[in-house]
Amino acid sequence: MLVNEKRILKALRRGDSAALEQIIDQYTPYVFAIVSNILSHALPREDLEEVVSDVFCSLWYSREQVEPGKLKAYLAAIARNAAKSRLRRLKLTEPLEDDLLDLALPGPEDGVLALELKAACREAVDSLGQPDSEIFLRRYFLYQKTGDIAQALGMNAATVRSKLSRGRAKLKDHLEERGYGDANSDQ
Amino acid sequence: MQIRISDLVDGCCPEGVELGAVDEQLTERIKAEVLNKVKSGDRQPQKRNGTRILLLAAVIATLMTATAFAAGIFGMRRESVPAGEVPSGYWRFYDDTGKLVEEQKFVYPDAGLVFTFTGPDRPRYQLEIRPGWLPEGEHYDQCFRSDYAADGWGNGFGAFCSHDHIPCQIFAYEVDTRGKMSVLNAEPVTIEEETWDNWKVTKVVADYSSTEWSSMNKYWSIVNYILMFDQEQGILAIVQGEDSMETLEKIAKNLEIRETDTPMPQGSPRDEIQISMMDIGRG
Repeated sequence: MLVNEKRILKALRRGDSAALEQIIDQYTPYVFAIVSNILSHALPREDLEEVVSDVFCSLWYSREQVEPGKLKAYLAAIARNAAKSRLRRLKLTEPLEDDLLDLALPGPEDGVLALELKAACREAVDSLGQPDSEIFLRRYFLYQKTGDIAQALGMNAATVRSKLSRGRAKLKDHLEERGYGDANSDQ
Repeated sequence: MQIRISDLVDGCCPEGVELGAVDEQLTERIKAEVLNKVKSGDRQPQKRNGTRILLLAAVIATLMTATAFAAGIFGMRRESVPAGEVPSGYWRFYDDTGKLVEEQKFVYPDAGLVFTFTGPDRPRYQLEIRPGWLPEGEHYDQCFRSDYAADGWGNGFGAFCSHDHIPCQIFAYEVDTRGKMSVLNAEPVTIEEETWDNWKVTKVVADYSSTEWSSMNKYWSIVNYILMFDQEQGILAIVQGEDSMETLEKIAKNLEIRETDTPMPQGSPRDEIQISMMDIGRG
């Protein structure tokens, strides 16, 4: 987190481009890593850089909405959305091969259900404890490869894969207990 | 139904995790590009090639997915008007010195729904639309295509037929960011919400038969509205008219939208437009 995020966000809201420069200095590696994790299998580096610059432009244009202490999460959300949007619009494949979960849901249009489902998912992830919850979110929020997660946490890749498998099973169990499960799933 | 875990966790950013190696050259390139864009206010530079312009084009046909829990940046808020309440607002126009030169007040006693939006705080550009599918029929053959370029793109669409019936109108624009209310001056009969890829979709069947408008207009009473809000771009597209909801939905799902390099006409920077109508046949 920036040393004085509150001050920098206040300057950003005023339209001070120096504040934007500080944020770019601090968060370019982070944003580029997320965009790269999602898109590098499909797009050349110059296109990744364009998405990253779009992320910071989006921050600039929506700067009124950022709350102090949440800048990093906000940038991560924009980066994920921008990269995933690029994937969808170009009809490219998603990067994670272990990402799908079978659930009994009426359809994606039910916004209330989606919110409840996400809340239940957050509970399940929190219940994993450390380091399993971090591993789970590195994989499914930050789209890191299992080898990169293993390296970052000083584990071997097999251990990471095992923990991810347990995390998926626990998430599924947690959601089934709340009526979202699909007994026919082989997940 | 299959859902992506990565979509389920989209609000679960692991705050303490650091990613990426410092690359000063990369940072400088990003900084230069971002500052160039925001300082010039040009969000769609001329150097962009056709592919990148198409990235702003929202071809929404066939994009309804099971994984569309997009966490949008911008928002469209819909509120019902409680019985007995009457939405009102004003338009205020100022001269270059900041002196108020004109004020108009508006009151909408028939309003059933009020919409407000959050969108990008940046220069706005005109959008163009191109219907990818239209029903066969005289009304659609004779729609006002004079605004259209040879390739079919235009800044609006309307299919009118005799006796003032309006089978279909289409508009798209970037939403106002200053808290402007858009009111629907009818009784909402049904409201459905769906998600089509990045688009938050609200389908409204509106009944004008008990409104003041019905005393002046004898030609239509039930009107269908499909409001499509792009939560990432802050763009609102509306397909509305007396044609069936099924027909309008097919038109909507085959609609293309793109942003032009033409800035939106601007009044004085101080002008305040607090309220507007979104009903068919009225501006």
